[in-house]
Amino acid sequence: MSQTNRHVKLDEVWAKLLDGINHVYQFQGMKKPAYMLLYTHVYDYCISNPNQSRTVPGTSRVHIGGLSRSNGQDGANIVGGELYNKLKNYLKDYLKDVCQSGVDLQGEGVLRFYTNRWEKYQFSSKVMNDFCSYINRHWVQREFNSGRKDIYEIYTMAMDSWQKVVFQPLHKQVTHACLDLIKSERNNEIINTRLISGVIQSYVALGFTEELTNSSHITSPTLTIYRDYFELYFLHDTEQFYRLEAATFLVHNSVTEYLKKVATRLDEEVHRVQSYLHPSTLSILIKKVEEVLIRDQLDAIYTEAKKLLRDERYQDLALLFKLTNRIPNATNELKKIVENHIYEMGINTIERVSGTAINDPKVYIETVIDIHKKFLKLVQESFNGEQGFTAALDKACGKFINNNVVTQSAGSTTKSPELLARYCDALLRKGSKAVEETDLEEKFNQIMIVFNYIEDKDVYQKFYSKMLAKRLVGQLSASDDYEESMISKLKQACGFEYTSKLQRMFQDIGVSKTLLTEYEKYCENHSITDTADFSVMVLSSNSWPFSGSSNFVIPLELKSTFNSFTEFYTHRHNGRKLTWLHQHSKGELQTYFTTQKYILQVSTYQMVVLLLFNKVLTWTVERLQDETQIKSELLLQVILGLLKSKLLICTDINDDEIDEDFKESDIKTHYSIRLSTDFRSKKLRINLNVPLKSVEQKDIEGVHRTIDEDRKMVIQAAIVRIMKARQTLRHALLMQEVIQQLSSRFRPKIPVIKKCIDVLIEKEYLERQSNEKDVLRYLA
Amino acid sequence: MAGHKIKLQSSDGDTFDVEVEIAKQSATIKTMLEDLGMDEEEDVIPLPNVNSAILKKVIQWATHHKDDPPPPEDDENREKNTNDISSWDQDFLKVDQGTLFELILAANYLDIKGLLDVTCKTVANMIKGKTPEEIRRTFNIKNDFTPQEEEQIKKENEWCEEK
Amino acid sequence: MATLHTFLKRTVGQRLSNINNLGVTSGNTDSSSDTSLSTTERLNDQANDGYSSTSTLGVLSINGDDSLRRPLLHVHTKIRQKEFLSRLIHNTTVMNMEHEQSMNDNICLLDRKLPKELILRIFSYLDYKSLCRCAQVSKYWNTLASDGSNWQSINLKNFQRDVDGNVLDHLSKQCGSFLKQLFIENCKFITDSNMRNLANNCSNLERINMKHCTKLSNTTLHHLSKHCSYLVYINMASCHLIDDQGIKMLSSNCSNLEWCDISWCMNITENGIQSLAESCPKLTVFKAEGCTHMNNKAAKELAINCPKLLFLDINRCSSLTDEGLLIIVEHCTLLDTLIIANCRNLTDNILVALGQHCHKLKRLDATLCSQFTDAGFSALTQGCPSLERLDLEDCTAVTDETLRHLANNCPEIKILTLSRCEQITDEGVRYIGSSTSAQEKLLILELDNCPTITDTSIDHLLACQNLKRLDIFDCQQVTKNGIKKIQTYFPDLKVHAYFAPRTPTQNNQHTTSCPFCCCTSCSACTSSCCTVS
Repeated sequence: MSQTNRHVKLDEVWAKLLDGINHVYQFQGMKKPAYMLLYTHVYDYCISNPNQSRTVPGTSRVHIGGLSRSNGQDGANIVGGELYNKLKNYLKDYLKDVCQSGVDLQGEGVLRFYTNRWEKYQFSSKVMNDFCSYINRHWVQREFNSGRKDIYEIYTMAMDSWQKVVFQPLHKQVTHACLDLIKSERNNEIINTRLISGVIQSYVALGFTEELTNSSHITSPTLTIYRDYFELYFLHDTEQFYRLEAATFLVHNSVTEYLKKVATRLDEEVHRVQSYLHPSTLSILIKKVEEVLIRDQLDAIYTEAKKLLRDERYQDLALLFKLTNRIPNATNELKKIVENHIYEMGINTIERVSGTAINDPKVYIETVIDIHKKFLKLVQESFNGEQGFTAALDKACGKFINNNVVTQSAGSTTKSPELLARYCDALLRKGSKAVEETDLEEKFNQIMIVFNYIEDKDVYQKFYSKMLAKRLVGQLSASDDYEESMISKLKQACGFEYTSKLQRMFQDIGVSKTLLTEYEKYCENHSITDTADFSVMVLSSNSWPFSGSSNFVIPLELKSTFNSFTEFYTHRHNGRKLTWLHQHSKGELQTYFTTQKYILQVSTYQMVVLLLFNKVLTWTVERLQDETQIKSELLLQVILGLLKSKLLICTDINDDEIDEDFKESDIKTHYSIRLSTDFRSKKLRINLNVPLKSVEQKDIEGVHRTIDEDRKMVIQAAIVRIMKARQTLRHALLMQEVIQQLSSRFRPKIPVIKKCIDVLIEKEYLERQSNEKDVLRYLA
Repeated sequence: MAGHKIKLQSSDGDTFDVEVEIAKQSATIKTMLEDLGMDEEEDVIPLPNVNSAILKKVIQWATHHKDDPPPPEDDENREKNTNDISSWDQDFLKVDQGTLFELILAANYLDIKGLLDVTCKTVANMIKGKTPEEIRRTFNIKNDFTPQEEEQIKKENEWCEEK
Repeated sequence: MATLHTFLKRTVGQRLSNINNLGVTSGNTDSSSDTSLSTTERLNDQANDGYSSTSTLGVLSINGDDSLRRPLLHVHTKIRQKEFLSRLIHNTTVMNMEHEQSMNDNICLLDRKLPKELILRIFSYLDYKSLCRCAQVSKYWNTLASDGSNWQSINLKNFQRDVDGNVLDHLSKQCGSFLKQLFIENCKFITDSNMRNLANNCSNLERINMKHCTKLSNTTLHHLSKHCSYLVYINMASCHLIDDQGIKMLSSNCSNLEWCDISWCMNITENGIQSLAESCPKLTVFKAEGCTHMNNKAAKELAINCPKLLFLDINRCSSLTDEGLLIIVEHCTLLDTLIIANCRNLTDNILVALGQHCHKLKRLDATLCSQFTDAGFSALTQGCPSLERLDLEDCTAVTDETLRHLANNCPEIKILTLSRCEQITDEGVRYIGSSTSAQEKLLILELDNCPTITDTSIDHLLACQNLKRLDIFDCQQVTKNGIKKIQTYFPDLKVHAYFAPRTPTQNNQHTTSCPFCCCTSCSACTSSCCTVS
């Protein structure tokens, strides 16, 4: 009874529903009462009649050995399946007709047809789904819970039907028509994008899938249909279109013009996705366009980059970089190009000024600074200051600053630090032209930029400390503040150790000042009056780059001064030894033998010599040497200077012989020297204490010479430090660590390190492990 | 739109003016309004499966709960908690079985999830803790098992009884 | 209508005979049963006037004695009667309809009114016991209560002693394809043959916990693999009979597995784990506590094949060394829980690598990883800022330094175990107590057996407002006053403390029963420790 009844009821309800469904799918308006009645029909049909179902198990099941058993699914057979199938079949038939009317259409026709029918169908199906929702709520939900994967909610089922009946036969035409339209748009035609977005919306809506695992949602959207039936073809089309465009455009246009075009194309494609495609396409589409338009043209782009660099077209370069940067790793080559360019420009620029630059720190350093400034601007403006390009700039600068025509002609890579140090010296000395404080600060910063590129920072340190020493001792510094500022910058760059000596030098000067006042008090207290007007600096020998000077017999006039200070100092600081650095000392003498009283500023050596003329007016060179005990070499230089100043006269040579070419070796020991009693000068204060040129030159050479020795010591110290921490270490690893540790000072050469290791083995700091020859062991 | 009303007609012909926002607790009415729009205000929505008395109660319930958050989705793992019925609902559901079942039917017909939950829970609470015989008495159910069948069923289900 | 009437009569008669069978009435003759029928009907006519609870009367007043009926009616309060009356007045139409219907129909209102789907919905709120009782009510209810939709998820853990194979057979038949989850932990009577029936019937099974079902062997896995390809969760801990062969069969068809526990399955070797890892790339949780064959090779396979791993428990996998675990840490960067307790071979390298790769780590259990030092934990805390729980019991090399790093770098820490970290001092606790995040978030701190901890630590902890539990037993330098202090600060805090006998206890009623206690209020206390409240 129930089965037939059910069928009757099904036919009955179907008859009632069909009218409404037809109504809905013919897109006629529906009133709420009608809708509610449809819903009620479905509801009435579906709610199972309890009486019926009660009798079903009783009558239709046979009791054998107890109770009839149902298994889970049909135990409480919920109504809805038959109606669901009826709806499904209805849609199938309906859609067959739809498909038939569209099958012969092409181009925009098929798009208009497809989108129009789709939109209506979608709406109709939503309405039908809603007034049949009772089936969804109970029967469909139950089927799903019981694990069926082929039953969907009615709306989804309708989508599925469209997919099978309409989409499958038509998708080729539809997709093709879409792609044609897009192509037209790429060719700058105006198109009706609504047609495409309608299709896309349909493709996206059709992509749903049954969840494989338990979930409260029966279906979840996927993009499979959109991907497989549209996106794939679209990307293929895109690739072809742009490949062709790239090839033809580059025939007639420059790469820069091409790149401008690429940039617009990329913007267009972004806009395209935003206006009518699915957002998920964006990244993959852009990647494709980038590949075709940029990656495949990289060679041409690189060539263009070189040209743009040469022509300094930084704005175009910026665009080129922006586009190239879209391709992974493509900028690496660009970085190399930039590095090479900067290096070449650096080398060439320095070559142009090399003639003067080799002896003019200002020209050299400022040229370097200008090059750096120029290319820093390039990196910032064209390459967005990107780290890789900053690194390229650094690499190029490091290369040309440490090795160029100037350093080559000087024959050593340590020329750059020397020139830099001399540049600093010029700036920090009294009377430097950079007066403005801000100006100087800016200059310091530039110096630090160059300094950071210098490999041999230890050389710079040596020169710098030497020149600082001179500035301090000679009181030639423009300002203590400037000095301190420079030192603190170096400290920032290289650490405390690097500047510790410089700082101590600075301190010594301060300490000396207080010491002097104390000495003055001491003199007062001990009523020491027979001293000359006297000031002294006590410099700790460790920090100052001075070596002891050749001694001499202290003239009577100075003796008591020297002695009283020595006594004062040794009394205060027991155990310290004072060594006089005469070569850095100076004094003033007043002439009493002339009518006009002149004040002579002289070095101590000069003073010693001149004071002898208080005893006798004429001396032979030999006698002078005997009296003063100054090394003859030095003495001759002193005499030469005094001869040239005309304060002394050599009776054995003519005045006119003493010209530029006159050398100290021209002075013979038997020559006799006399005081020029009729000495005359326009100035009242005469500075005779000009630095001895030869000495200065020797100084510089000396620094260069000692560097290698000093470095060996530094390397050895580093090795010992490392080995002490590690105890045993492989040879190669040790090398690495040494280089790494010293990199902030200089770049040690591998053979030198090896030599140092050998030295340390000899000195029994290290030994080679007996079983493994390349392993070293530290010996405590 | 606040205060906007629609007309609902019960099976026995009475018409009720109900605020749209209250009526929308019925998913059936809500989707209908979404599908068909709200333009034709003169339409009376017939509810042929709900009589006036029950519809009145349903509207009363919906009015009281109009500001409730939407009930959570059904989930197989939802807690079988039936003790969370608010005291208002408890009072509201102090009705005879017939009315209670009519309310369940109406909630189901109109798809008012909150009302369906609370009414079903109320019935579940009437079952909980009772022996089969007590359940039969509560709902006036006839035991239609043969003694053998009953014995077998009892055996099958005794595992969850405490011993 | 005619059929309905006869049906009614038949059912009423049947019910009476049933009642007779049940022995509710005795000594009634056939004729009296006739009268009782009439009274019942009459009663029900009244009763069903919309006040259904009176229908019980019909059954109870079966003796047919009218005088008995009246007092029973009086059981119901007057209010109810009033309600009844008012309903009669206000709702006459409905009542009349009901009245008419109930005249003809004596069967259950629920069955008659509600469609099956709604009864099922009511049943969906019932527990197993109620469902099983409903199944005994009537045939119709039997069908509905046994319907698979009520049994999509079954947890028999609470019935472990009562559940035998027949129950499972019966359940799997009635659940059929509805069954998604089955938890039969500890149901030791379940056999392979029960599991075969289950797999046969319930092909949609997604989650199964058969921990400690010791009779189950490879055969079970064979059937599960054959029928249940949707399986995502399986717990076979302590199923000793299972070996590589079973794992191979399981993984060959259940490639959706995300959760797998093979703890204490000592017969599973690296080969089994390899095939599991190779076939189940979605694995997110893997537990292999006590699997002595969980070695470096197995770890490597897991690392390469299962990059989504979130939870890894390899407690007591003693053959594992840095080599194997490092690969896992490098590949499985999503890890949020790592349990490496009792893996004594592991060194700081693991902690450093965790800090480098697994930035999402929330929980690390490193109990008895005694090679771990401050250096390792420094790296770990810097790379894993989301750490919430850290177990360092018996990490004897750990010092205050680790706590400093933890306080500085891990603002999410909630549970911290430092038991037997003998180098931890008050200074370390100070770091914790002075970190603003720990002050807010720290819930549990275990400092037991840290011998240098003193009352100073307690003072530091006064800043941690949300502390729920503090273990300081066997910290002999902590005094009672210290504990009292923190207890007055935080009355809800559970303090597990212990006092050596030498500490004189004050007058306390518990001292006699428990020499080491000063008092007790905490069930977690064993004889060796005690709560001060």
